[in-house]
Amino acid sequence: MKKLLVVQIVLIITFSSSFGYLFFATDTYEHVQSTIVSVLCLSCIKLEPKTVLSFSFETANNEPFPDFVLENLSKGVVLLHYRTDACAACDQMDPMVASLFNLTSLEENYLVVTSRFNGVNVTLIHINLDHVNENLKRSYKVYNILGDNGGVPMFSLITFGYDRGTVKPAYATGYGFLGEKTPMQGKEVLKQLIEEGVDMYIQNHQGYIPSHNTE
Amino acid sequence: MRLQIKRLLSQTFFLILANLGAFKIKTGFCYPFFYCHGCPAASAGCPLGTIEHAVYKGKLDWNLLLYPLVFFGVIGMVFGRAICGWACPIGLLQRITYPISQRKTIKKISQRFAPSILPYARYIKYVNLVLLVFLTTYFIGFMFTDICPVGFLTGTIPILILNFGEFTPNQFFLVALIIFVFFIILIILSGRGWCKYFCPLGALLAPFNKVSLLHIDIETDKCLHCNLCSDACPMGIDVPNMNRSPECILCGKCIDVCPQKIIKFKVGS
Repeated sequence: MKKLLVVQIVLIITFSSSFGYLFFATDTYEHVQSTIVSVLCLSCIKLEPKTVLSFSFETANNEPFPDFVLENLSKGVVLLHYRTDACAACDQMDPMVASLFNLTSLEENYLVVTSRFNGVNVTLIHINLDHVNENLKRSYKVYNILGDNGGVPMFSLITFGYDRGTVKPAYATGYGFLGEKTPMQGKEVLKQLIEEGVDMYIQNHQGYIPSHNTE
Repeated sequence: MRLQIKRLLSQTFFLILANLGAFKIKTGFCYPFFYCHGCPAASAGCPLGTIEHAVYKGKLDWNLLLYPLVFFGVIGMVFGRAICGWACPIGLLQRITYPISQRKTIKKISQRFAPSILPYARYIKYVNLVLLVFLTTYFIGFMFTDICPVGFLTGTIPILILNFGEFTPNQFFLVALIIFVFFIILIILSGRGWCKYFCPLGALLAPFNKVSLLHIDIETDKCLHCNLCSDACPMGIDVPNMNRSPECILCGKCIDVCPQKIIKFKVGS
């Protein structure tokens, strides 16, 4: 009995202090909250969101376009690519995205690469939400049009569009294999989206007046 | 208040707690029971999902791995597998299906099809935990998450209902659907079949029954050997001889039926 009591006391102290350390002294709680709980796990639900890739001007959470996006948009089209560490669909789409930008892999947690499509710069910003700063994490919510029903991988293409007499930054967001059955088909949709974004950029970028537009 | 009513209230309370995400309450805790963070109303992370994130494809995130494990250590040391009996929403579901599994016709069917290895089938849950949750995720990638019937029940189905036509099945949907159908058949044919044979979280909590503060205490010297307690046990335990059985979910059904009132909850060693 006494032996068991000692074991109980030792184990309770060990587990409680370890949990206390992880809870108070590390960012594990925030990590679980901001990624595992808040970003819908598409593998868990065995589903993919159906999205129609259409451009819009109003952001998903009505926040302005982030500065790092506008900065890159001044040089060309921007493709934001979000993933998390543990994401099966991301693992399948990563090589597709990499091949579009002539990269061998996308293993970095944060990567900015520029490539040219039809004479226009297209900047890929690859963001692993598990390892980036709050500013980049917040940008996910800016373009996550499905809110709680969104997930990763998420792609947002940002270009310029024409809205009631004004040129504004416009974006289109898609998820998973972009509504297709295989990553290869998803790659084709992504390529078409980039080409459409490039065409819109060519048509509109000269009419863009930065001071008029941050949202 | 009768013990089983208290247990029902406790299970209902934890079901509500698990779904506080419906009121935009999303915490960074892990559930101490089986529930999917893919559920539209989820308020915490699935402990198995968190473990899978921690070990995914050889990336060992020790903090993330230990976070659910030590949490279960604390919970397990205090309550043992009482979590399965008093808090788990899947336990509540099986509580609802349990009376069906006890009907004569269903019992006949389950006895007819029960394999001879059934007494050993309880070890499957440990294999599930080690093989599907840890090893496969570490070496290959998600496996359990892709086919998890609890994820299908608490994540897939509510999302499909709440967002009709807005989602499309992925490549694992069909396999997960088949496993889900087997899961439903299992819990109808075998009372607490999921807890007994397959639940990886049950496997994680089970060893703590041996050392937990809360446990079932039996004054065996006063036992009449009427076997009413064992008959009532949804986990199929030989109650008078269980001696802190890893299978016991501390539901208290044996306490309720004991004519001698010699079975009690006890806190301590």
